[in-house]
Amino acid sequence: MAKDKKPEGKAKKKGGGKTVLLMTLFGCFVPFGLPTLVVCLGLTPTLVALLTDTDERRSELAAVGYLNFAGVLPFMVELWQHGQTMEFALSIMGQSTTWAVMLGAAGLGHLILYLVPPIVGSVVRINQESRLRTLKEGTAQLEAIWGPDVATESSLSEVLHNRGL
Amino acid sequence: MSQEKVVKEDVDGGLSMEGRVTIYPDKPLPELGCAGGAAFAARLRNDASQDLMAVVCSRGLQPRLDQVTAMKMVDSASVIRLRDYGAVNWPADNANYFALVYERPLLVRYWQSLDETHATMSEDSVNHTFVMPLIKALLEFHRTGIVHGGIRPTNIFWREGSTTPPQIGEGLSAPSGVGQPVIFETIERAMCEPIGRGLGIHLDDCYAFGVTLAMVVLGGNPFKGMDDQTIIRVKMEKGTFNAMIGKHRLPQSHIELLRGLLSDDTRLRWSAEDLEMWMTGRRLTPKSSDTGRRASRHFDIGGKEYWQVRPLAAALAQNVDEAVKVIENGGLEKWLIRSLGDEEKSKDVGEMIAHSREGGKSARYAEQLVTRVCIALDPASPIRYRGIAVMPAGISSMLVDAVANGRDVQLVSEIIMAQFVTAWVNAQKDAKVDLVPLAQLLERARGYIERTTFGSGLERALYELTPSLPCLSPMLRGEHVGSPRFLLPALERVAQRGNKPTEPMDRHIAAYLIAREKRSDSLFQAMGPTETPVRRGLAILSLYGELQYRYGPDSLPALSMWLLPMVEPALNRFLSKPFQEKVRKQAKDAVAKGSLSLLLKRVDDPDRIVGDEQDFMEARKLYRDIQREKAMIEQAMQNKEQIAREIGKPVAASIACFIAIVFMAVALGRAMLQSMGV
Repeated sequence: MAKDKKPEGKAKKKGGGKTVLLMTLFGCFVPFGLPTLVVCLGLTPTLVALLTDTDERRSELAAVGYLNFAGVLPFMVELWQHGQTMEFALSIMGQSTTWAVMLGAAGLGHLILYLVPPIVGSVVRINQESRLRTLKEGTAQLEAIWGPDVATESSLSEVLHNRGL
Repeated sequence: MSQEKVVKEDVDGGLSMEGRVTIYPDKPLPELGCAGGAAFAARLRNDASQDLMAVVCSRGLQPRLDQVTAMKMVDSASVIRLRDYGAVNWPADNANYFALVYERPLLVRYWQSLDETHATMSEDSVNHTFVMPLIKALLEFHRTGIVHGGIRPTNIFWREGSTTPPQIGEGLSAPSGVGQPVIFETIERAMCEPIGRGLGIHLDDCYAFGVTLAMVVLGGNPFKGMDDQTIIRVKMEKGTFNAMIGKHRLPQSHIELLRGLLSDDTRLRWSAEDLEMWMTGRRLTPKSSDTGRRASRHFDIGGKEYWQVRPLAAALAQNVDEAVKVIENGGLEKWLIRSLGDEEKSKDVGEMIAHSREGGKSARYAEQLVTRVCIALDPASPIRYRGIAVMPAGISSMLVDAVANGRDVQLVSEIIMAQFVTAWVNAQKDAKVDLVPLAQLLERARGYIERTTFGSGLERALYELTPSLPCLSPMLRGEHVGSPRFLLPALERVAQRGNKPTEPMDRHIAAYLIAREKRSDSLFQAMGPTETPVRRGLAILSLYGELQYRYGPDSLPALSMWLLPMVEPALNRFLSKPFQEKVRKQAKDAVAKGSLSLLLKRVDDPDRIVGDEQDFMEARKLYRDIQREKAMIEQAMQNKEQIAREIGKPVAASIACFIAIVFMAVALGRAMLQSMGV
């Protein structure tokens, strides 16, 4: 029964995240209206990432989404400052700079996703190798102090017997 | 007697005997030498005015240490006075010997040889100048419980006509009976090997005095020219009195005295008390014994005819094969009944034969059968087995001699194992009760010999049978360890020599300590050759550490160094190598100090051993944890992609988040500034 419940809970959790995101977008849409939604077209890479990112932690969605939103945010602020009209929204969307900034920011996210993991992997490996060396030194020290018997599972009486006692 | 004080100390050209007496090896006194060793001039340290003689017991014979204390209490003008005794280091042999220090006799030896002839003295002169002083000496021996064992004309210092009383010479430097010619021994003791005669009884001294007196009144040796066997045979056939006095005409008082002293039956022989009565004028009538009772028909053995039981028993012992035949075919029993008319003896012989048959026909059946039959025939005589004759009380000294001088130990061992002593004691009709403790002692000795464990065996029997025996360990050759307190100093000296054995322990030392210290056998079983070196080393160290604590000396560096390799394996019990090294260093420090108990504490401290084992178990757990972590890391390193995905992507997301926040802050800030009209 517990087994049955677990996948169900997991599915709920997965579906819940998407619902929250959609509700947020919907929340943005409600107060700011259609012109803001037009500007939010710039979040298309995020939407794509939302659909394609299968990673449990949603690292890709987060990286692309945050930067994509950071690229969209100046234009949304600008739209709000100019009365939030459909005309101004369309004029913003008509500018190539707008698209370049919004999509470029998302692209930066992808670039970070491309570059950082290998670097992090290398750093982790260096750390692991260092730790491994330390551990090997530790075992060597233990063997030097206690002899090869420290590595065995034999009983204390067997150890003493092997030493001629 | 303090062994620590045995030092090679030259004092005025002499050697120090435990700091109390100076012995002069360059001043020998050959005229005073005796069975146990040569005599040398000596002086007391605190009274140099008196000339003394020291008998140095260096001839491989065990001095009678059990009687030295009593002898020192003897206070008689007719006995040379024992002033002191102890161990002395003899540089010429590089050995320690036991020495007995006596006052020098006032006169020369009465007889220089037993073959001398002397002019006869008057009855009155003999009685007053010779007999009475010596009776007083015998009374003194009787009072102090001493059996001298060496009363004879050649061991009496006197001169006819002198006003000085005769003095009986030294008698403790060798086992009782050793050095005493056959003529002065009772028939039973004379039949024995000299070393197997045993301590004897007071009446044996009276007998020797009787023989001495007979020679004095006769003016010579009536057995002159006879060999020992002939003397014994003549005594057996005629009785000692008749054999010695024969048809000589002696004063009535002397005949009476000699008949009493020379009685071959101990029950009838005069003791010192009887002699005292004789001295005070009471006349006793000596009874004759039936020792020489003759049969109506003779019994043939070895081509000779025997008419009496005692010579026949001796002949049977000498002709074992023929003896077995006459015993087995019942001829002997028939002769005892028909010719001797002694049904009781025949019954005793029958019981002995039955007892021998019960034991089955072993390899020594014939010899053992004849020995038992001889005991039944002549109960007073010694145990005769495989060509030797020994009194039960002499078995211990014979065993000591065999071990100390490399003689046939097996033979003595067989005598003990065959329970001849029990048979002999059971055969003694009247004196049986007094002899039961002796039989029990030999039975215990048999038990020790049967056990082969370390600390038991023949060595244990040796020390249990002879309570005054010093330790005869081969490694202590040249030392005189008369008490456990002298063992460690002796071992320290042995340790300083180059040719010491590998271990300072052997079966002799173990048996000696068990017997003298009344210790439990269990500790010594751990020293056996089948035990591990560690257990053996620790058991020896534990024992010697305790002895050092009890008796000293405080420092025994050479012995400690000797023991160190034995306990070195015990350091392997410390599992931590650095700790092991630390303990090894501490052990070496203890060795340098010469403290055995400290050495034991260093190498066998239970708290430290338990602590070390606990540390080992913790180290083992830590080792396992490290191995587990190593395996995990190595496994993780196999998959770079996974690392990148699991760690790199979240990091990238975090970086992107941070950059986005910066961007958003800039954008919002800029918008705020614009709205504020800046």
